[in-house]
Amino acid sequence: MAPFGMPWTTFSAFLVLGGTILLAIVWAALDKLRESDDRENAQ
Amino acid sequence: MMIYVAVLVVYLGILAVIGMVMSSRSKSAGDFAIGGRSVGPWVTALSFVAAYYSSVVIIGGGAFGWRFGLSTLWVGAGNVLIGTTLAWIVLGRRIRRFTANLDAMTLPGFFAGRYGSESSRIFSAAATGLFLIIYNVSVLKGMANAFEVLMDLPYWAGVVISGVVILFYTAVGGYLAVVWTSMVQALVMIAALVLLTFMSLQHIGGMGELVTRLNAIDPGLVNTPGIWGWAGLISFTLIVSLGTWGMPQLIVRFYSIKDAKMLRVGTVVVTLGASIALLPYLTGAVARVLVPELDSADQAIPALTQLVLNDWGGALFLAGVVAAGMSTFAGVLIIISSSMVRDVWIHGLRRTMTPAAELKANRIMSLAVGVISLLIALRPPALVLVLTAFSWAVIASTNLWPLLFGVYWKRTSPRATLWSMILGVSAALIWFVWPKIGALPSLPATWAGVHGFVVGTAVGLVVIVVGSLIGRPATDTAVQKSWHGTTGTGS
Repeated sequence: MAPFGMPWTTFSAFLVLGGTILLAIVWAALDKLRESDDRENAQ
Repeated sequence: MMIYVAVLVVYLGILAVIGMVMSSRSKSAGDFAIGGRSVGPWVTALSFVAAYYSSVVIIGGGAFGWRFGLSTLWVGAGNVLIGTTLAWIVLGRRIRRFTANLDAMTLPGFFAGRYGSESSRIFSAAATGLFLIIYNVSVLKGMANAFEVLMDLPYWAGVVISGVVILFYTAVGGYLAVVWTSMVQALVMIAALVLLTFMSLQHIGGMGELVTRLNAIDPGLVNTPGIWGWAGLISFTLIVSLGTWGMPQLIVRFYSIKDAKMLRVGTVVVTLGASIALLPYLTGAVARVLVPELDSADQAIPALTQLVLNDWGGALFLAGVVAAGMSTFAGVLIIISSSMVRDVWIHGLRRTMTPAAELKANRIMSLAVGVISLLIALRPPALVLVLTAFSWAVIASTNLWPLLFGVYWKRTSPRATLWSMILGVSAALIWFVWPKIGALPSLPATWAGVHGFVVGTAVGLVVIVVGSLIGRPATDTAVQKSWHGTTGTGS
């Protein structure tokens, strides 16, 4: 059983939500890094 | 009652003031349609959330939670992952760049530039405009119903109050007024939904107690897919999540952001804001326990509000529902008016207009479309209500693949794009009317549950892929301009 006595198939909706927030943060960080690399290469 | 009136008067007054302030910044058709591509990431992100979640989502999402239980949380999770975050990551940067390169202010304008096809422009503008009006009528009706239940106002008064305020700030302030008011509206919606969720969970004794009591009613209200079944759950989640990728009132947020780099901050903000998508479904499930006897599932959220919130909380929640409806209605109004003026009148009918005349025409068109929607909403005919459920599917079937393939696949053929639109929409409509024509043979039971959105987008996908593989791509000029811009610098 998942937290709150939910089945994992239902609770996983919250995990997907958490994963999505993480995805957005990681994508934004990688995008910034890629831009910095591009700028350095251009110089 | 006085508290409700006071909160609403203050709230609607703030929106009207924003409209007046923004009117001085709307000096051209580009300002009116896309805010002169000058909008920051926070405003863009929060206005996206407000335009995405209409009052229909809050009231209707609660109704789904009440009927089907906790498995509906997956619909909210799909809205955040597919409908929001992936849409921003996959489409955002490219659409911003391509529309700037092509100087496109509308989605039909993008199709015309990317594919060099005026027919795609006209078809997209006509199908999208017509079905967005139908969608708008349902949004207005949702707001009026909320006024009816929570304030005891007659239905017509709800339609008139919401309609007049939206028309005022949209016609006067254009896109900038719409996005700034939408940002305020998103904050009100978030506050209202968080408050209702917190108070209703506290009332029932927490999440654990909710699960126990739902299990006692029916274990299918706790399991996934539960009493809804996989077909219903997956197809509904896809409609309201993937469907956003073809909805012009949401896509326009990518054209109008000041700089593509701002999409980074925007993506994080929009994901956090969109997370409220799970709350109507969760509170709907709470309502199933606390208010199990209802005439209609649509009463779940208003009834729960009256049970767990005091007058101030109820007034805030009503403001949240109205905010959700207004922001969606206003966003759609701008899309229809700019598309009718630029794509149909100027390009389709080949009329010339000075920039000042185009701005004026946009204002008049937004007023006209708004008044038409308002008049239909006062006494919505049955056909409008039936087609409302279908408008999202038709609009997505028209725009989804031409947009996605247009920014990723240089080989995409203009002719295949047009036929993908026509056949996608036709397939969706035929699927929809088939069971209603008694003379035709019935569909097998397993097929009958499939939504027209799935059929329309599947047909559109096959047509655009096969047609592009065997047909001619757009001209080099159109492709080069789309990818690199006339100066080759992009934006």
